[in-house]
Amino acid sequence: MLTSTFLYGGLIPAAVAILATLLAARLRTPPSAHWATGVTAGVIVGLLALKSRAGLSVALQSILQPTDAADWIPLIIFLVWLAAMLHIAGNSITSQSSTHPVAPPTVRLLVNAASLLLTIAVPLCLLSRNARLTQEWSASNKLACLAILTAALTAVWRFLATSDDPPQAFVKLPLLIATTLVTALVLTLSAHAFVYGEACATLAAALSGTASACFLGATGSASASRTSRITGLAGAAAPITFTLGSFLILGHFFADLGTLNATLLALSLVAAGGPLPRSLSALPPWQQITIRSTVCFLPLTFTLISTFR
Amino acid sequence: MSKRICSVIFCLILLAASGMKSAAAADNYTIDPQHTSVIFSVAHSGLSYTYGMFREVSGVYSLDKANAANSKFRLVIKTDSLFTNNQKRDDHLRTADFFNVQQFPEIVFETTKCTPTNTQDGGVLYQLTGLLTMHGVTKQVSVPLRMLGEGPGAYGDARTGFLCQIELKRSEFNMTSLLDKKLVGDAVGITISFEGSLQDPNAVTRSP
Repeated sequence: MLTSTFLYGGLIPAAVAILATLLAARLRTPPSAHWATGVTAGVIVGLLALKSRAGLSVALQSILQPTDAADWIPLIIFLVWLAAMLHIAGNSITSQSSTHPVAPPTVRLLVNAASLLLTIAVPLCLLSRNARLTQEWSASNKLACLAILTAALTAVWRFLATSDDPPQAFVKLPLLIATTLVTALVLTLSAHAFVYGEACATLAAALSGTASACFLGATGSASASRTSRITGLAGAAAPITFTLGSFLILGHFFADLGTLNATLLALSLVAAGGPLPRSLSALPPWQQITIRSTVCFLPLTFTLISTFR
Repeated sequence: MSKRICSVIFCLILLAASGMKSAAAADNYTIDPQHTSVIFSVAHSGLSYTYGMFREVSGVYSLDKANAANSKFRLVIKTDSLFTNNQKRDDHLRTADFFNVQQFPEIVFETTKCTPTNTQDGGVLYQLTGLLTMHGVTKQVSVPLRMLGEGPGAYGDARTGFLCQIELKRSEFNMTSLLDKKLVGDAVGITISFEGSLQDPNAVTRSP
């Protein structure tokens, strides 16, 4: 069982992420587009590969006729990728704004509208068939829940999308992978949802695959320093946020993932990939890295302890 | 022309009257949850069978003795009520790995066709064809339903009782978790036995 999970949820998404990143690099897209494409392709193919263990027709049917809430995630991640690419394209237009003075605000408006739509639509789509929520909760509770989830997704997305200075970017990647793996473990052991856990692990595989392709030289020249090859990690903010966010939402509302654990895992994600406060930017890089790692690992450790207790 | 209209109206009245007669001929029963059992069994690692049950079952059925083919059955099982005598396993079975009770709170079976046959021992076997909705997937299934008996219950109410045993493949209902290496088997054996209490014929007839 674990062998097939490693193959379908680990090796396949990693390999697809490498290929997609190399392809995006050949198309001379910005580094952030390499990360967005690599991670998205890896996660989508990984999720479908895991489904295909019960038959290719089952995997195809899950896309064409989604019944389970988790069946929507590949489509969600694809739409999120489109929004991310729009955002990346918008940024590149902004940098040439002297020739198109009107275009950047329009694109920015479009990007913001798409982002807002996604952050509202994703929780709605995932939770619209939750029996407890739809039948037992009052309208005001539902609205409050939607508002909290939308705000959380927006905040995490914004935090992860902030541009990264090289030393910090270099430490963000392993912390993001560690957060994803711990989330997968907690979903499996604490929330009793193995299917969510192994699906969540595809994100760690996709991140590793994309990083490998970047280290192989997809981003920047082969002679570039290791840290500069991580440039563009913020481009994967949207697929990372929505993959992990979707599984945390599903784990909480459809399985037994507690509110505290879900919140701590989301905080770890922000600590792993978000910006450090300006007051800490004057500190030497190694101190910044230590602070970031500590702030990321503390909630992860607490969650793990509560899982194994 | 008016003669023709009159004859059409007469035919319609006849049709309506015959429909009312057949509806009146059917006896409507409500399933007694206290005397209803839904048991399931599934192979574990190819070594043993694990048994479980659903503790909340409801339903209605109508038996048409004059024309048994008009009989109808509807059974609703609350997925959240599953019990396998192990709390951790029950929690796991309720998650998205299996029944996903938060998204699919009910299993519903509703007949579309009923073919009665007499058994060698003088009993009645209803071959039911119907739609089974489980885990968000609706499939047509055939169920042999054996009438076990008919008579007054402990409180004098008219009752009928039934038994059926079928086998389903959970993968056909998109329940594919842990199928690898047959950790949890695909085939699920199901045994259902239920009693129904005859409803007051003067009460408003409700379609089952």
